[in-house]
Amino acid sequence: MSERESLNSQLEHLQMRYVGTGHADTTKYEWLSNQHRDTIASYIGHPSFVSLFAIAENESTGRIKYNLLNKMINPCGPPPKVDSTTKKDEDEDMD
Amino acid sequence: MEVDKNQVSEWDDSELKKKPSTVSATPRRNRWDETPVSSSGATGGFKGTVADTPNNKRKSRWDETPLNVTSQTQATPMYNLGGATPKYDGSQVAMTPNYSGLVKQTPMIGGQMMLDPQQLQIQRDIEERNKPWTDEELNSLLPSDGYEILTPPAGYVPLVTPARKMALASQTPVSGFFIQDENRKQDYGIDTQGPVDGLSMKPEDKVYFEKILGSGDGEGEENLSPEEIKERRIMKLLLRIKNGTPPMRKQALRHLTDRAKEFGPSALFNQILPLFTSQSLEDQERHLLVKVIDRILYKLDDLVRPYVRKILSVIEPYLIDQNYYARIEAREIISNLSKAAGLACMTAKMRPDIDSPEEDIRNTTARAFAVVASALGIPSLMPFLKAVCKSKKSWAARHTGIKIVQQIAILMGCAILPHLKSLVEIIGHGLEDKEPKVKTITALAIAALAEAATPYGIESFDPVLKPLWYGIRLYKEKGLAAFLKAIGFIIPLMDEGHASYYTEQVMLTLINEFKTSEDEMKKIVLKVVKQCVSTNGVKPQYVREKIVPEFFKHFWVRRMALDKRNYKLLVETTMELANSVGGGEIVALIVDDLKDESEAYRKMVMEAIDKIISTLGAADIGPRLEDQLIDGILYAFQEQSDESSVMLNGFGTVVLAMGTRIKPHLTTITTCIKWRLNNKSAKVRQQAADLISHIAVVMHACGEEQLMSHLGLILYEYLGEEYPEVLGSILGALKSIVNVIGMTKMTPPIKDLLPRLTPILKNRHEKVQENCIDLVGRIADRGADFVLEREWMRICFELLDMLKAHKKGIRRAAVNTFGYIAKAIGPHDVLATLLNNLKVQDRQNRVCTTVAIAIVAETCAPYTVLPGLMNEYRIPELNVQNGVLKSLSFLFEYIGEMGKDYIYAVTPLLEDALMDRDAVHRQTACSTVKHMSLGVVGLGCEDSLVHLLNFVWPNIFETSPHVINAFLEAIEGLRVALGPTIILQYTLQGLFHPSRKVRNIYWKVFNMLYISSQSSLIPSYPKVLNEGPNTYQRYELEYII
Repeated sequence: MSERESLNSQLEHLQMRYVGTGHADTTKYEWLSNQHRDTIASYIGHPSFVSLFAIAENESTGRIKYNLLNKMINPCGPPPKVDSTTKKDEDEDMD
Repeated sequence: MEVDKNQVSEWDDSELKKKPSTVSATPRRNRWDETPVSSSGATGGFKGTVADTPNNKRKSRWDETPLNVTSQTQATPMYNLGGATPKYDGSQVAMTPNYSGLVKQTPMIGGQMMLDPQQLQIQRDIEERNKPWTDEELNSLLPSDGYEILTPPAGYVPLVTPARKMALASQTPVSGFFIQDENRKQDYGIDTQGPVDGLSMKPEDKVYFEKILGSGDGEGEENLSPEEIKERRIMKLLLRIKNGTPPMRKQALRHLTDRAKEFGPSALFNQILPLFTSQSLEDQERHLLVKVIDRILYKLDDLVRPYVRKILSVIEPYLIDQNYYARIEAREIISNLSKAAGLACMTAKMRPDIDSPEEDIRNTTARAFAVVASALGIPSLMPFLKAVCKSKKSWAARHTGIKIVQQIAILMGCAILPHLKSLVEIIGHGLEDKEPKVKTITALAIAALAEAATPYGIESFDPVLKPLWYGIRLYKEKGLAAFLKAIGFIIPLMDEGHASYYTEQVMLTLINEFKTSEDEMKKIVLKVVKQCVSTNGVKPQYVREKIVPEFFKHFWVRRMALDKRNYKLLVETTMELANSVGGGEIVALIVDDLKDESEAYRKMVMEAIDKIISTLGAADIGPRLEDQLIDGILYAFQEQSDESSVMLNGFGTVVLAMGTRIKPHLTTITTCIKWRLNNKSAKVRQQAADLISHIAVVMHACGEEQLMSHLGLILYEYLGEEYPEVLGSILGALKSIVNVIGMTKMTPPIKDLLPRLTPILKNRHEKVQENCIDLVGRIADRGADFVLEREWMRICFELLDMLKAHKKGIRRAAVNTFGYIAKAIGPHDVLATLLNNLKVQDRQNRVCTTVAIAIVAETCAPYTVLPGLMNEYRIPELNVQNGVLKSLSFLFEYIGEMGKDYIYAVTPLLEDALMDRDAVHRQTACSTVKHMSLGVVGLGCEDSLVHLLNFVWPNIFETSPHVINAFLEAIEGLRVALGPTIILQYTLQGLFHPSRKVRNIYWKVFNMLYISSQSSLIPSYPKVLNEGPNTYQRYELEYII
């Protein structure tokens, strides 16, 4: 039993090593930021995507890549202000 | 107080009743009691002692007034062993009171303790048998009529031997009470239950836990001082840890650790350390105590400082214990101790021992310091070491200091490398010390450092090279040995040029020392030769001319074979020489010794030849040498009298290496084997059979099929062998013959051989089972048509029993054989047998059966098996249904892609299983789904897999680890087959669920998905609307040109 549990916790440990993974307390903002970053990374990794965007936006591919890279910093805009009291209340409601 | 016997037995009754008033004045003693001291005085004395130790909670009848005593005695006739029996008494005294004193006062155990537990046990036993008669026993033995009980004469003084006197003198009144209590319980040598939690304990333990014996009910706790209550509490916890069941132990250990600070170090160590020194301590108990000490050290931290010395004095001797684990655990404690107490404290406490006149103390201290160094790091100990190694006060301190360095090297291995230079520097001067012992230990320390540093760090040894080199010319005997050892370890570190130069230099001395008769020197010389010869820089030419002749002259002598370590070293060194100059040459030098008179020597020769030929091959062995070699080996093989496998292995190796060149000798070898198969000794027969399996391949390569058939017939005749070891070997030999000559050419024909094997399958011996099943499996695989179907069915039934075998190899062979048999005779009958076997209780048996079913399905195509298997699921029996599901799981695992044709067939069954109330059903069905989906990836089975996913998914909230694991694996399998998008759709619902429990597991599934298909998820993420300042939409994906 304990072996299995430790196996599970090992699995969790492994998962934690990936930035994009989440847990029960992950917020919508965090989750979506990761999604956006993954998406941008994927765009840049596929040149045909970049070409498509370049045509659509009427920019050079270099500019497109540059813009995408810049977007990696805060892909979804600034993080929402955390209101600690309301958050706590929410949590209590949830459980 | 054993002397004063005022208790009265019923023998005295009448008199007492007649004149009760006189009891206190002139008490009538027990007739069997020889001790004439007046009772009133004695009782008074007792009272005194009791008053002295008011805290002793064990109240004795001696506390009462004499009158009271009388009545009590009448009520309960006493076994007054204590007083009546000098001998028994004495031993009791020797055993108990001293310990009780010791436990309280000093952690060390006195001289009496030196008896080992067995001796104590025997002594106790003898005394138990020789103990004198009690009144009660006498009453029952002697008739009451016609006998009179006489009072002892007035002037009678019992004979008191000096030993008894001593024993009496040494006992303390307090422990006297203890003895009385013991006697009341009358230990008949049966291990009675201890009072604490019903734990049993060894009689030797009782002395430690004396205080809590008989106080299990907690009587009179209120009379104790807080200190004593604490003491007893610790004792109870320790006893629970030492003798308790695992849960009890765990709890006690946690309790003890949690309250370590509260108990305080003094109370704890006063209890633990005496236990540690107990002679009767077993490995397991010692391990537990080590654990206790470890934990409390961690808790107490620097509070232990005042006790460091005490702990060390108890633990250090274990550093040189014979038991490896004892040494390891002692190291662990010292290492933790040094972490808790700190370096300053440790050095301060161990310092006095550094120049102790006792060699042993210095030795253990050096080892303890090495442990401290490994715990706290070498650099922190360096200044101290430097000072000690340079100590002017006494050579002993320098000796210990250098020994510490040696021990550090041995203990830490290559971890010394960063400090190598400074370590060599601080001991370097020791090579020129005035004291020969210091010189020797310095050389040994350098050897240890070089060994630990291999193959790096030659530059660090520069400063000591010169003195070492002068040293080997100057010194003799022991000193020289140490210096040679150091050089031997340094040479492999050098580059080629230097190595060859220094080897030549050292070789002169070394060759001189070949002659030595000293054992230690011999070992070192062998080792150094090995190290020198194996370095690159030494030319084969040089070795051949300068080293080999002398070496063989002095070392390849019979005497070397007698000592196991010499023997091993010599073989290794010779191997190294052969590496350098070539195998043929070396073999030629020793081959004649295969016919030596001494068997041990022949064995050593054989082992060397075996090693040389197995690594270097037989290519450079000429025709003449070949004849000599085979001749010698045959002689040695035939002449061997003991049971070792050296000759056998050597024979096998040589024959294999020679290959077809062995052909001319095969007839001789076979004759020898045949003759030996008939030998009276079982071991000889076994070796002969083993030899056949060794050389069968070569025999076949030589084209000697006829010879092999002949051997096959002979082996067949020997199948009635009664020794299982031999029978196993014979089966192995048969198997090797069948393997090389094939089923059709085999003699005896398979149809005769197999029926002979069937009864052997019943044999319970592992070796027989394994070889027999291998052989049967081989026949079933290759030559099944030679045998009747009925015979195969019979074997099937035998095989079912094999599934119970402990050895995995046997079970695996049995399961595979089922497959072969099913292929040969069709799956129907075999399957019926196997399905029936699903009903048995034994789990391992069922698991193996399911594997066998799956294998049968794999070999005979699933459609032959599935209908029957699925029909079996209708039996309303848990084991059977689970067995069916498990078989399906294995089946889909084995058949892989083929599974696509069977998914629709089994889906209804899996639906049912996945909805079952029983968790094991769902678990096994989940793993079936996993294997199934992994098998059919990309084969267009998505429809039914999605259907199954809908049944798998609700198990997401399962809490049992096995089930949830199976669930996760099923999802993983389905992800591969269905693509991550579908699974993601299922997952999205729960990621932001209000309940944390739901979110936990859903995120886990999501993470699983994310890690394995990160990029495939990108197009599948849901569209999220923007929110305030945050852009959540991925507009790029919506571009249309």
